[in-house]
Amino acid sequence: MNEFITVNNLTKRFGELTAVDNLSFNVEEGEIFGFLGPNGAGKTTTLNILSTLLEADSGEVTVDGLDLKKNEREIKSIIGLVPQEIAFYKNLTARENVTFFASLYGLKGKVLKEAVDEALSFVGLEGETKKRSGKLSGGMQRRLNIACGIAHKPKLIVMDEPTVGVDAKSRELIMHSIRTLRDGGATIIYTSHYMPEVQEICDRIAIISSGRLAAIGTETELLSYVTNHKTVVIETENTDEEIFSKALRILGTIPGVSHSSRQGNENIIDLDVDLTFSNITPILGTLLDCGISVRSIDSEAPNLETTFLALTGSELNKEETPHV
Amino acid sequence: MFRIMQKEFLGMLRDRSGFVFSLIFPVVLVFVLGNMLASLDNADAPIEEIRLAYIVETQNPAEAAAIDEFLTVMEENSQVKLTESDDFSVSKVDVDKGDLDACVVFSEPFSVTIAEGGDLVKNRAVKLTMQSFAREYAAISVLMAHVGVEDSGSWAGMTGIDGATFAPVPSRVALSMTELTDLTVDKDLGVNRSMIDYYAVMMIVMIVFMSGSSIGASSVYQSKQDGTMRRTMLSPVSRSKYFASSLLGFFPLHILSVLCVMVPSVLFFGAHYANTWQGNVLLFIGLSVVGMAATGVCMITGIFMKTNPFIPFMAVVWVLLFFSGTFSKEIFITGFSEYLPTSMIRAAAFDLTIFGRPDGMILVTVVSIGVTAITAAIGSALLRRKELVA
Ligand SMILES: Nc1ncnc2c1ncn2[C@@H]1O[C@H](COP(=O)(O)OP(=O)(O)O)[C@@H](O)[C@H]1O
Ligand SMILES: [Mg+2]
Repeated sequence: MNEFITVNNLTKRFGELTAVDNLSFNVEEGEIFGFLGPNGAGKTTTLNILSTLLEADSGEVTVDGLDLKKNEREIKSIIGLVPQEIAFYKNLTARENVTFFASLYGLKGKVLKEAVDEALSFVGLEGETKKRSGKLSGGMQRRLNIACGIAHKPKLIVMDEPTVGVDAKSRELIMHSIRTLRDGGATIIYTSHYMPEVQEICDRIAIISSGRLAAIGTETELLSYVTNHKTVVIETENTDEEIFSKALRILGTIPGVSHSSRQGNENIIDLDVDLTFSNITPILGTLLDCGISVRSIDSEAPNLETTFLALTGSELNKEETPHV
Repeated sequence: MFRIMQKEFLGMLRDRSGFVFSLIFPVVLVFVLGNMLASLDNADAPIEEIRLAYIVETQNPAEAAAIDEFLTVMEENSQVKLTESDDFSVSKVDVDKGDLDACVVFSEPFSVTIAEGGDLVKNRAVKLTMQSFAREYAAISVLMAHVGVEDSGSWAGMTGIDGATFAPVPSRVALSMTELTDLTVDKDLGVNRSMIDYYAVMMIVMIVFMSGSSIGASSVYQSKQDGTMRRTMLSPVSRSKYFASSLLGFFPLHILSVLCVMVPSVLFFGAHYANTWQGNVLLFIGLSVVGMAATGVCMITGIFMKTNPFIPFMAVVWVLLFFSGTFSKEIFITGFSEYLPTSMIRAAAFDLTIFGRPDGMILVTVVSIGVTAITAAIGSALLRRKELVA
């Protein structure tokens, strides 16, 4: 496969804050490339640089073999960005919006009309052409936001958390349409902090945290980074705060246990342990010493969530933050 | 390019505040002011009696006879109390004290000087009466010459276009007519002018500034807020094309908002603008491009705004209008107010409508087009600075 995007040592600062820190990665032509990271990791900033909205402080980017700094115009014309925030004219109808944004890419007349029709039906909004866009439902607005970004048939589609705050039906539609776009030959960068989505549709995934690349690869590749880890879940009878914190402290010192934590205020303890770790006697011993009686012990195989935790040390936002 | 213009125009038209400000507000204003002024003009109650002193200085027998006739007619009007005076300065003191309402001096060559008192309605009545007399006098003179009546022989006959002999309006009468016009205009309005003419021009100036600035600032601010500006910046469309087209997209709206004052004020309140159609076209285009210049300036400032610019911009415009005496003629600070753009534009507009002098309005038009072009250049340059837009 060809490399469609190359990013080398990309850095972007906002005053004191380094939002993107010496980031390097490649995106291959025709793939869905997942960009995963918690809020504030620098995903949007990176995408804004790729799509020419922001200027990097240092580093090189090429898109489709063109240098980003030297060929801004050309690169603009092959990119379609679906921004994180909904961005279209609330006073115009869905059709007027898509027509307007597509026309900015030089589409005219019949070609323009066909492209608009196609984009609207693509996101399932072909019936909603009369209403002003501001009056559409949240999910429909999200879908219109996508249609505005793809009507000009860009070779590279950059989607910044396109499913934030949408209903299940719209999400399904969006997921499906992203695959269709890929199958139609487009290269797609997909950003999310909703793990199952990324797992579901991305061919390759980059995990970033605090502006730095933590890992990159296919889902299987990523999992193999951490297959020496698994999670042990222990359900207890007790909930006393003091006893818990003492037990967690001691558990963390047991050889083979890399991380111990309590699930909120629940009577559940999570332990990250080496995959080879099989002797649970020291764990049970510790709990018993602390006066905690165990209800059940369970061991989970690694998934992307635990991988993410192991790689970045930070947790992804579990629930979706509703959008304002 | 056309798409951007169309989008701005449609967007604004559908935006409630934009629509209200540029189209509804002017029409409402015309009707409110029109009705208010009409009731002011029709007020018949306030005048009970006009105490008028007159001095006839003219020695010309024809003129003296005409004046005499006129005064006799005046005396028959029970509302007018005429007294002959022989000393203007004495009568003027009486007028100032309020013992008299006005003092009129008929002098030679024919002219009428009015010393006005404090009652505006009475002043208007006296002025209008004197104006109509002057006009009538001119007409009578023509007629007299036409039928061969020679007075002191100071008017030369003249062969007209069809070979018919008629006398032109005697030059000295014509002269005094313009003097009279200037005299009255200086104080208030021109001949054949009503209050609506005066206020309509004020209104247009006010509205192009208000809608111009609110449209400009809020469109840019809005498109920054709702992310549509960034989205546009993603496309290969050049910044200058985008900014210029957005700005041009507002032109039809300005035209509409000027029309919204001009048309109903003419149709429903008989407002009267310039005397020639060329003058009216100039006024119309000139004021529309003033709106464009205001929009351009405010679009640029809108790029920097962190809060909704509608309120601060309205405040600035109201202050401008206030100090240029739009709301009250008393608030006019000489040496300051006349240099405010609002005052200068209004003065140019009056110059055109009342005196028929187009120079000021042509200058306003040219300067406004220049300002619009400069703002387009600055705006495009600003949009090229990514940190400002993203
Ligand atoms: N224009 C900006 N000015 C200052 N700081 C910014 C700006 N944009 C983003 N940041 C900061 O940069 C960091 C990365 O932000 P962002 O790229 O939006 O993260 P993500 O999209 O991964 O949630 C955050 O800490 C954010 O506050
Ligand atoms: Mg983001």
